[in-house]
Amino acid sequence: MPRFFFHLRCAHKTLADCEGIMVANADAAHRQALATLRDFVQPSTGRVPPEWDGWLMQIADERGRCLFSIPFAEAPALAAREQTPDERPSSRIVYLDIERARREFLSVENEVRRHIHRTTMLVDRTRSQTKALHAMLQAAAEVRQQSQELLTRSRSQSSIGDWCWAQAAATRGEPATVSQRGVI
Amino acid sequence: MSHTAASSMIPDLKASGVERNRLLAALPPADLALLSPHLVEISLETGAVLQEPAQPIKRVYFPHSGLVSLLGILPEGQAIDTASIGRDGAIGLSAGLGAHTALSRAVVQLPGRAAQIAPGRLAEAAAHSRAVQDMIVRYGDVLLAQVQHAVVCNTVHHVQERLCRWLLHAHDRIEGDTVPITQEFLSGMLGVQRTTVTAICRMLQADNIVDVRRGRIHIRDVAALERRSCSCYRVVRRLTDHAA
Repeated sequence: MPRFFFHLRCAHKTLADCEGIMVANADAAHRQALATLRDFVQPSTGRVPPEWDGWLMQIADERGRCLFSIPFAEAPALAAREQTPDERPSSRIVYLDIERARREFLSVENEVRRHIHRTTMLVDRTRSQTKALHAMLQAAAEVRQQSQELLTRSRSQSSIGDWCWAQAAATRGEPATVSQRGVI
Repeated sequence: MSHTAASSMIPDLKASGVERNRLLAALPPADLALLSPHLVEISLETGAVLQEPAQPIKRVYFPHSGLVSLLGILPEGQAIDTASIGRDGAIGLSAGLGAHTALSRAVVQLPGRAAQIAPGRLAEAAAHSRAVQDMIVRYGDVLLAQVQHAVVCNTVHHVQERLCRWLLHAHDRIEGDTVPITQEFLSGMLGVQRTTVTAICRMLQADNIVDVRRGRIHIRDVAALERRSCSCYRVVRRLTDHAA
């Protein structure tokens, strides 16, 4: 049998039910919650004690999903139309099942939407990265060409330089060396 | 009326480990001597059924410690607590005046010790002792008053107040502040859903009044617990104090 947890919540506090109880299914958990709330109605006044104002009982399954919640303020109304589980109209249970199915469907739909969104984003990113890579390749090719030109020019200039140095050294009567010229 | 003033009006019932049954203790020595040779010391184990409705009374019990509940049985099989009997009372006492059949179920809620006696022996002592007769009649009245009060309390007061009241009665009957009771048991006692008991206990715990652990409830703040209880706690305590 699955375990269900009956948490207590109000605006600023949650008192978690760590133990839970085992009941047949979500419908049984719902009946249990209704019976619990009926217990909270004071027999003499038909009201719930003021300290429970603003509190609600939240029923969660083993996976921590909240199935439904009922405010304690609704307890007097629940007690007023007290019914044994057998007398309960079956439409109530069908309604609950549809509600649950709707919630499950919505969560799956949201999941799919998230995946589509992520895939679109990834495709966009790949496209822009390809474009950037292309531009980089082009730039690299240009740089390569420029440096090649620069190298060719500097080679031709260095041969002129060598000649000039040699001439100068010869005028001073010194042997020309590479080290004196520094690096071009 | 302050809490301390109210406390001083009522003798301390808190269990101390060396207590004896107060009905027996209140008997004059000569009258007690009629019973003493036939009293057998036994231990009361949680959940033990001491008597069943419509069944013959086999033994009369005088608890020295622990707590026994008299349960009203509904046709659907549900059993609801109508009176709690500790060392201020007895179970099956009317057998001493000729009653042969039990009228309710008696179940041990908190373990302890008791003196037990055969109904015939008690009847014999009662036949020779005015004090024993008086004890039986007086306690019958107290028990009736206690049950009547429980009926009123169950119809008028909120389950939260009744739960606090039950814990206070139990607290009076134990040593220390930890009541060895499961929430499941408590829900049966009060005739409510188990989820109702766990919800109230969680709220009391959040307010630092009790500490709920598996199979026991530790009382941290007795005064606060009494403020959450209905006034029936004091009323019933006065009744049981008058019994002895």
